[in-house]
Amino acid sequence: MIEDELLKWRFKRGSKDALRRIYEKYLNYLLTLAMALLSDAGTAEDVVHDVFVSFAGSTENFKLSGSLRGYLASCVLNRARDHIRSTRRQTVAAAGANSASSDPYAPEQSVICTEESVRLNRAIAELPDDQRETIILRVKGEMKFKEIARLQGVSVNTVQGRYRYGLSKLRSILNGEVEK
Amino acid sequence: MRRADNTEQIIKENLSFTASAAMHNRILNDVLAAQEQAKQTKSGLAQANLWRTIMKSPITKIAAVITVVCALIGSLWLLDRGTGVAFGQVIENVTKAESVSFLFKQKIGDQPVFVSKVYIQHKKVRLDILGAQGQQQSVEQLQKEMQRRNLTSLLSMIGDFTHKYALELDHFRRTYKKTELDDRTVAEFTKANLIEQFRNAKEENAEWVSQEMQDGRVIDVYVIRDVKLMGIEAELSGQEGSRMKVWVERKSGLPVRILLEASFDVEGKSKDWLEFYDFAWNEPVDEDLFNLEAPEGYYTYTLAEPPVPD
Repeated sequence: MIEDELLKWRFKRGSKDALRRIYEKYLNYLLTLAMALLSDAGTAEDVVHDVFVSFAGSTENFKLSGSLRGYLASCVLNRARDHIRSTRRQTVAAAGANSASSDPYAPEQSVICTEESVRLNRAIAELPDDQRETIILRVKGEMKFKEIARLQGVSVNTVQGRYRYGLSKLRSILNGEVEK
Repeated sequence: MRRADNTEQIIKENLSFTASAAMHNRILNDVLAAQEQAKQTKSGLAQANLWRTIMKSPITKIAAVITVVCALIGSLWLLDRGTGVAFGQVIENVTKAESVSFLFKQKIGDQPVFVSKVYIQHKKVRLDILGAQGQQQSVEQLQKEMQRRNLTSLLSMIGDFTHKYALELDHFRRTYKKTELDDRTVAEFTKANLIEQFRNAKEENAEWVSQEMQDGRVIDVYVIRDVKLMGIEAELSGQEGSRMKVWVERKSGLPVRILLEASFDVEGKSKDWLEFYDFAWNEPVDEDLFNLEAPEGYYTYTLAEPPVPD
């Protein structure tokens, strides 16, 4: 989009307004990706926060020839992965301590969503990580299989397979065919 | 639980999370603070070489040309639809025009004013960035440097949309880059698609506002509101100040000046503008200006960017 090119250009030159516009344009998009990847409002907020803060601090070295939207989405993905890895390590270390966490969709978490979103997100959370990532990046991130393959470091065929299996499983979950 | 026959569609339409106002402001404050901090720490780098600004700017190089052509074609298309018979003649004149050249200035945000010369002949476009204006120290340095090197323009972009090639000449470094244009880029430059960008404009927004005398010529002035500039309709529509003013010479029925005023920032506080003036219609442009061969003494490069010479 030409608008994004203009925003990139102005951001690179330190424009506060451009940064604000980028933020307002992509905040909810990135939040939705983060929520779908992490299923926790607080963590999703942290990830989106860190992505934007890091982006804002990169003005001087900012170089991007591709899509701004795709770039920000991949930043969310990377941070979400880092978080998932780190949480798993902590979970193993804590051996299940404090496992009864608060409701990730509770109102105090500051994320506004519909019941349907919550239901869908809970279903998506049951998918294996790679399938969940693929579906989210494809459907909500509007990325091509080729781009997802690059991000995941696998072949396009693998990504397509993950997508197919993931959708099929998700369909079953939503239809109540898979017991939790 | 209802069936999920089209899971893809369901996710697309229903999975959505929105930040509350509190979250929005919480993150935004940190984001703006991070940018401010980054600006302060770069210190010496703050006086960035303006030449680099120009060279690395896809907007000055490419979008500027798109804007120019959009403005020309789009404004006339709007005028034709919006204000009656007299403009039917204007658009016909423009449609019949074999060539046009004009000067182009743009002021966006706190950046310097870039001045360019544009030539359009059939499906060929040339944009010469002549320099920058403004109070910034970097502008002053650039002007001195241009004088020292005896340069009349900094950068030239030549596009031939029939042969689908573009040539970028960096007169400062004496380098060139030749690029094959993809269909998408070519489509952006074609008349039909540029007009398409204005298809949804409000026809009733064009209005005659005054008549002026300039050098013994009668000039009609028209204002077109809510202009969609470069496809940025969300930002511009509905904002006071996003408008296009067109000066048309009554005798020739052709524009002599176009001024686009808009605000590119979210709050609409900044006053950005693009001005097209010194039009020369139907004066054949020297074909050499559209030559896609690099001038003698210019060299190309592929990997590392060559340094700016001292």
